[in-house]
Amino acid sequence: MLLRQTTRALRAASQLRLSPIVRMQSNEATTHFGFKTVKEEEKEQLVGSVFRNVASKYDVMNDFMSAGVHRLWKDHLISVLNPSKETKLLDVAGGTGDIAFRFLDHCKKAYGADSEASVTVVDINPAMLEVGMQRSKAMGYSDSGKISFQEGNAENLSNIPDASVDAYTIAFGIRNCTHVDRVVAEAYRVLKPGGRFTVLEFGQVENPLVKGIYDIYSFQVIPKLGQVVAGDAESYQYLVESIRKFPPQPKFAQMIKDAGFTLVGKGWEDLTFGVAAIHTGFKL
Amino acid sequence: MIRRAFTSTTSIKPPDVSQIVFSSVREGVKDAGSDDVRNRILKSALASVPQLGFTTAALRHGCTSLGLSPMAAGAWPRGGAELAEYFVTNATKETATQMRTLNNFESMRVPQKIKAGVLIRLGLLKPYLHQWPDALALMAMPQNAPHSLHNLGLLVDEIWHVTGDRSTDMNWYSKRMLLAGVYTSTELFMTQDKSPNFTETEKFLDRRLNDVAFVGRTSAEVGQMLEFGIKSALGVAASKGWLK
Repeated sequence: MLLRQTTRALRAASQLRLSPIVRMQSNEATTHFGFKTVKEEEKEQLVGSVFRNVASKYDVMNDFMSAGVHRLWKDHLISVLNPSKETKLLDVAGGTGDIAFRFLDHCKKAYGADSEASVTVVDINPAMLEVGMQRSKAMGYSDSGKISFQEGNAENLSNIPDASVDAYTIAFGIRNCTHVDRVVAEAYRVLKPGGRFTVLEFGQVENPLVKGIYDIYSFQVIPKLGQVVAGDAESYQYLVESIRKFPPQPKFAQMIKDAGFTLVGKGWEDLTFGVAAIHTGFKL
Repeated sequence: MIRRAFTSTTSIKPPDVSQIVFSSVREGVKDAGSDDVRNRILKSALASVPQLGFTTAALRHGCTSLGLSPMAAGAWPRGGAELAEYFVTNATKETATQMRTLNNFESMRVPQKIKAGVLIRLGLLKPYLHQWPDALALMAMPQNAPHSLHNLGLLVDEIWHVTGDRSTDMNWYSKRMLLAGVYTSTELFMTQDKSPNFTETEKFLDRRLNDVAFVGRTSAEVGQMLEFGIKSALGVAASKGWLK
């Protein structure tokens, strides 16, 4: 039963994967939106509508889908980042503030009141930023001067000067960008020499047994869960598809290296069998 | 697809003949560049070890003193232990160099050469001595221990090699094992030594070298010693009922 479901899910997935190749032959520059192929300029809008739809339920859904594990991944991200007392962080695609608040909490705990660490949250989506600003108020950070919110595109951070931040994080965001290479290049530009680029993103699961279960869960359970909890199955269908379309860990690590970053070791750390991974590059 | 790849590369960098022709060479140069920066960070971090210890704080200080963001300290995920390993690795190289340039090195007898090697290596530790017990504890942690053992192996191998040891039998192992024991115990003694000019450490070293007296002993004797050790260990194990 389980096996039959897996093969069916996989077959469905592979059929969907075939379609972009056929449609690629048109002259317009195209990209993927989940398993669909769309014009490059459309993707940003489509992603925008996904996150507008889910903004208010975003964090609740993350808990439902990952059984709370995304919290552990994000906590681990901050401990790996190991910010110092004066770290200036730029958290891109971080609208709801999940990373930003963890970062500020960590610095408060580690360095107390004299922590000078600060964070700028950039997100392309005003709905997501709105959620983050409300949380900031509720948590008492909004008047601290340690956090600011900005609307902006990860591919073109025109408001952020060259070599101005110590650390750049993007958690579960880079997958949704149309030109991943431009995002990495922008990160390189805004980081100070010695700065750290850290990406938390879904990865590819290598273990075949885990992969089977993970695929069933992704394609059968998550969209239905999205329907029930957030009232939106399509957005979550996009989510699981976009995960499959994102480059596997070695390929993404190579992209980071190609942008000029220095990798340490292989350049990433797998989390939960590679369901997610933390990629790191240093501007050295 | 092809069109995209083409436009994205051309939009970033205009084609440059020197880059195309010497692409592999340039790649090598670039990698050496970032390695060089990392070495410079470690070097300047080591300078602040007497104040800050073998810690991430020292690594961060190393970064900021070069005008880099302290975040670059994250390039050493095992933190202070990796700084200590940097010191150890360099000290091994330095020991070999200094041994070779000793006056009358060639005319020295083997035990004298070994002792000189150990003393040179211990001398290099002096500036960091009061931080060294912490570093030892750090290097003994499970994630760091394999590196530490490897580095100890490299040190004793280097000292024996410079001394002129070319043995290819069981002696090769016994000599290195015995010297590793002598070195680590003497180093530990030195961290607690309050005597002027570490004279007590040198005496301690003399006693340890006499104890093992590996020099001048034939391989047969060493073999017998090892055999005796193994036999008594087996005897103890059997008497405890561990062996059946």
